[in-house]
Amino acid sequence: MLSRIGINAEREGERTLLKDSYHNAPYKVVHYGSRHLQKHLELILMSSSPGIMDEDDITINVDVHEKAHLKLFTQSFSKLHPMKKGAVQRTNVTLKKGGIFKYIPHPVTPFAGSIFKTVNDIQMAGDATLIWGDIIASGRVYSGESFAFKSFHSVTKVTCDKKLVLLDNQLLEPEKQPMGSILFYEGYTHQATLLYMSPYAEELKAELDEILVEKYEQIDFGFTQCAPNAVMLRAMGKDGGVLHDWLSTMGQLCWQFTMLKNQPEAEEQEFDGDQPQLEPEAPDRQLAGKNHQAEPVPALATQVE
Amino acid sequence: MQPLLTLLQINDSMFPIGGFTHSYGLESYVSQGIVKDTPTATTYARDMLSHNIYYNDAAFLQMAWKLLEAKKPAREFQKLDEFITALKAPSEIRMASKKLAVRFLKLTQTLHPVKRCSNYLAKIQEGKLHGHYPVAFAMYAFAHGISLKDALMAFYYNTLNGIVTNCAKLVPISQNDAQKILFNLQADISQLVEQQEELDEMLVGLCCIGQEIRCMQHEKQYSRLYIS
Repeated sequence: MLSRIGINAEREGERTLLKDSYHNAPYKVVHYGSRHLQKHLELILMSSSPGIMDEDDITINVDVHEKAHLKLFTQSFSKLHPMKKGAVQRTNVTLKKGGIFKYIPHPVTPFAGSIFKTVNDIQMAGDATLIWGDIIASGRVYSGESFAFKSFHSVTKVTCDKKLVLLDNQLLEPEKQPMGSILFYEGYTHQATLLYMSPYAEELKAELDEILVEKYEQIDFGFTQCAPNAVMLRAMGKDGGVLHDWLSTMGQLCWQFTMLKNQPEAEEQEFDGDQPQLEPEAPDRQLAGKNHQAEPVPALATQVE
Repeated sequence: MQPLLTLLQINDSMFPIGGFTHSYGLESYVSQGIVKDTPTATTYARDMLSHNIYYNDAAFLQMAWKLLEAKKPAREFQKLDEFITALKAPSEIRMASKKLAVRFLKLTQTLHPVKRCSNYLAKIQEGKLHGHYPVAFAMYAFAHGISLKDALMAFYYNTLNGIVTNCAKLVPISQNDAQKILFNLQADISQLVEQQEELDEMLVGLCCIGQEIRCMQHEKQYSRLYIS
């Protein structure tokens, strides 16, 4: 099935608005809660399908225009069903000057026999900010389906002012690789990556050096300055939910840090990055007509918005 | 000039470019008790060659070689340099590749200058290019009449030699066991060299998630002997 999803976020005055969005079944793009609660735009990508099926071909185009601020959420874990030929997903993001985009989708769960290729092509202006996450599970772990998929190929390419700055190429083929062993998942069942590309990346890295000093029981992680204006955080764990909560918390920290740094200097306040908590204080926001709850965030000196 | 002797010299683990100061994440593996004895060291060594080096440094060496053979202009080398920089995410690994390249180029320049090598070094020093060891190695070896197969074979061998030497120091495993790993993986190396040409372009730069995390964790390791 061919699916196309398009999102155009544009800044008008102080607010970011959704313009020219399109989508076809089974996908849908809607506002996440009330659109009047914040100046930035929050959208959620929903799907009425139980997951990605054989021969699915999905293209997601996200355009974040000048100074537009967008948070894109997903609804649930993405399930890759058993396949013969395989499915493809392409995500193309353009981030114009001063644009900020945060996207940390729920984990992808490749079922036994699934074949999937996902290509993320991100083109950004030098002073834009990208907060990008992804989590790949080994499969339906509790159904005994760890590493029973055929192939999972993920390519993420980021260009900054048209110069290639980051390329992440991962091919997981359990029949050909020792997935549980040294160099690969090393006994874990999930991997997670968070990418923060921003003019403030070096400063954020310095904060993380102070914040992320302890080891977690459930998350084995490392982080690095992966390019001049970029920080990469990678982790392995055994629970997709825990990893997603943690990555979302770290992503929110990146978002607030960016907002704080974006303020005119006189208003800038000291960033007080306390140790982020593994367990989010508030449960994930529920869609079904409930009130818009605040996302779990690490303590910051001030709420920016 | 003797191509074989040149290859032996530039590929020697004693060639003073600082190769022995890097563990490429092995030090994290050892300190966390994951690589802890001869069997785990063997697994680590074998899998590093076939799942990491094959798709990365050996592939970069081959890509540089193909550009040299086709007499491609400097712009193509710049693209390759950017491509490798973008793939090497852990900063210590990226810096290791640069440091080795710079020292290799400086040293080889005093032995027998090669124009392309001097240009590469100058551009790295001007900050126009990042600099990567497999590219520098390919440039110098190519200029000295060494064949691609020999260059690759030697490159894999010396990488493995570095791994087993580090295992002997860090784990530690006995020198005898280290030499056995080096000897027993001859067939693996030979097969990887044979298959290098067939490597699909889309698979160049494949990352192993666990290894990459260990390389990142090394930045925070409290006590350490190696730079990476």
